Amino acid sequence: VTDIHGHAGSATADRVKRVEAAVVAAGLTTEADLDRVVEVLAAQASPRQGARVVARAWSDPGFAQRLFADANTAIEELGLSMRAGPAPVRLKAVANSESVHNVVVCTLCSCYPVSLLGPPPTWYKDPAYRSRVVREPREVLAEFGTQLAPETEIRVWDSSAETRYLVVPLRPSGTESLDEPTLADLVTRNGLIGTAVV
Amino acid sequence: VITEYQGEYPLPDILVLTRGATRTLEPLYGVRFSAGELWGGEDTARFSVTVDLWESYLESSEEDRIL
Repeated sequence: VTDIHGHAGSATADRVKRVEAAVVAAGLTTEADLDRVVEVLAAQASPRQGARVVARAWSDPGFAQRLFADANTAIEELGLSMRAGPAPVRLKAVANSESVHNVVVCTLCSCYPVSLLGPPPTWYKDPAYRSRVVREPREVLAEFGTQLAPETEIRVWDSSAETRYLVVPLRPSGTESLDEPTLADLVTRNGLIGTAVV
Repeated sequence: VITEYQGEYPLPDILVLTRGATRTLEPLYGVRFSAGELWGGEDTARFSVTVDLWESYLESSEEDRIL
């Protein structure tokens, strides 16, 4: 299988190859099935997709309402799907506001909506981020350059089960006249995870 | 507090124990803890952590009510 983590060293690549050989030998999957999943993910998975979802939510209040009610169904309006990966997962979009800031973590490993964000950045998988953001999120966000007002409530979402979280950042002021593709250009991957504002 | 019922999903503990042979469906909830509940001390940090937990991970309490 192609290495979707990109940065993996040869030790990791070797381990992946051995695990892959073992699961194929055990009849759990086939080489072709694995390649198909990775191909679909590699072709589609990118933070650009998450940015498109956010730009649509900023531009279309009806879409925003549908997104926060049932994100899996809403993103299909944009031709996106949470069924592209190896297993379908539930998607939940959480909205930043003037008083609430959301940030996503997977304390167990590195779960997040890959099809909307692309492969996770190295820091997202790092034990330091995973342990500290649930203990001192304000300090961790400050280290990312995101200084929140002391009165802003932070909600940390730990993807510990079957739901994957997508942060919808606050729309920047002065962007009222921008169209959807231009708005999408403003949205970064860190903004979609919640370690940055937009 | 429980903030959300997410549906029924197979309990991962049983999936692992039976190497994927047994799917035991159980209700899954989003459960929100304030910083003070989680880490102790006074609740001045103004943050919460929401964790997704299967029903059998939870203990019933007189104080906690489903929202």
